[in-house]
Amino acid sequence: MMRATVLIGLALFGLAACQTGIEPTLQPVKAALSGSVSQDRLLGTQSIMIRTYTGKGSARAEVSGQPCTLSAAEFSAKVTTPQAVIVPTFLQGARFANRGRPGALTVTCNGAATTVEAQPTGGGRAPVTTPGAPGPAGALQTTTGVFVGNGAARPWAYPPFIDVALP
Amino acid sequence: MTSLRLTPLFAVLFFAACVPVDYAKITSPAKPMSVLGTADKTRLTGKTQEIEIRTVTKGADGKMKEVTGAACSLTSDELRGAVVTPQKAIAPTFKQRAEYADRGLPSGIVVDCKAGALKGRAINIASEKQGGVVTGGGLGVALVSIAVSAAIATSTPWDWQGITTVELQ
Repeated sequence: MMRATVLIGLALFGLAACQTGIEPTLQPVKAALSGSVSQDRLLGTQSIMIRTYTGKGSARAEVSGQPCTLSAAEFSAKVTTPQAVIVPTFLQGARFANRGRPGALTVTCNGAATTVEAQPTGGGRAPVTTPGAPGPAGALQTTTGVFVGNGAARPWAYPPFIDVALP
Repeated sequence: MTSLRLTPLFAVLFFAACVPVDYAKITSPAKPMSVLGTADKTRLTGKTQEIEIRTVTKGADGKMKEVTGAACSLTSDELRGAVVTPQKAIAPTFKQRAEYADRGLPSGIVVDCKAGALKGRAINIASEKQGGVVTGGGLGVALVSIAVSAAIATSTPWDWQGITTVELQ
């Protein structure tokens, strides 16, 4: 019983540790929409926290004050890490090109870049294994899986946290 | 940290659950939505479901209050409609079948409302109805449970949310 309590405590501590980081001192910035984006595609907003790190493994450490640019086909923004950016969420439907899915979002900080894809909020596609199929597993799964529940109707959004590993 | 702001979708749940609003009585008759000619009619169940459309806005005191008389358009890949709040829209329901893409899930109904200078948008997304849960022990029961769930999933139409509340700003 005692051991279980200690283990649970450690697990909670570890979980809390994962959630912490340098406290942002800058207010969230709002991304600028590209002029060509139709308002018909938009539904609400989401916040994405951008953080930068150096080193790997046990030497991995967060660094602040790094200028970063965010770029997607539909919007762009500049932040100084750690800082949150407010970006739109996008409607999903067959009446939109590519079902309304916004382009990949690339965050570039001091020459290092991380790219993420939008997924339906609160869900996504269940992984499907395709034997012998080439390419990175993540990209493959998001294009060949079947939607979970009503994921095929839920708005598109990006991951709420993006970490960029600096060289 | 809250990563997603309150999108209109989640705002619907929030308002319904947490913020008491004195809603006006609906006096207008429910208004049927039309099915687009491009929609696959075999996906329809032939039955309908009422969706109550209401509009609210934040008052000077910070409390939500209902806005009546807002003109709303309802748009999806398959349906079109229009109401003046508060009013019910009558939406066709869709079959849930494995042979259809995404099991026949209709796209969300986007509700755009405008009242004077105020406007807002929300979405109503159909979901699976909650089926009965078979409880008990043993592999045999588990297999029965899976079979029952599968039967429910393929025979139960997609279920629209009963109310869509649009916050106007």
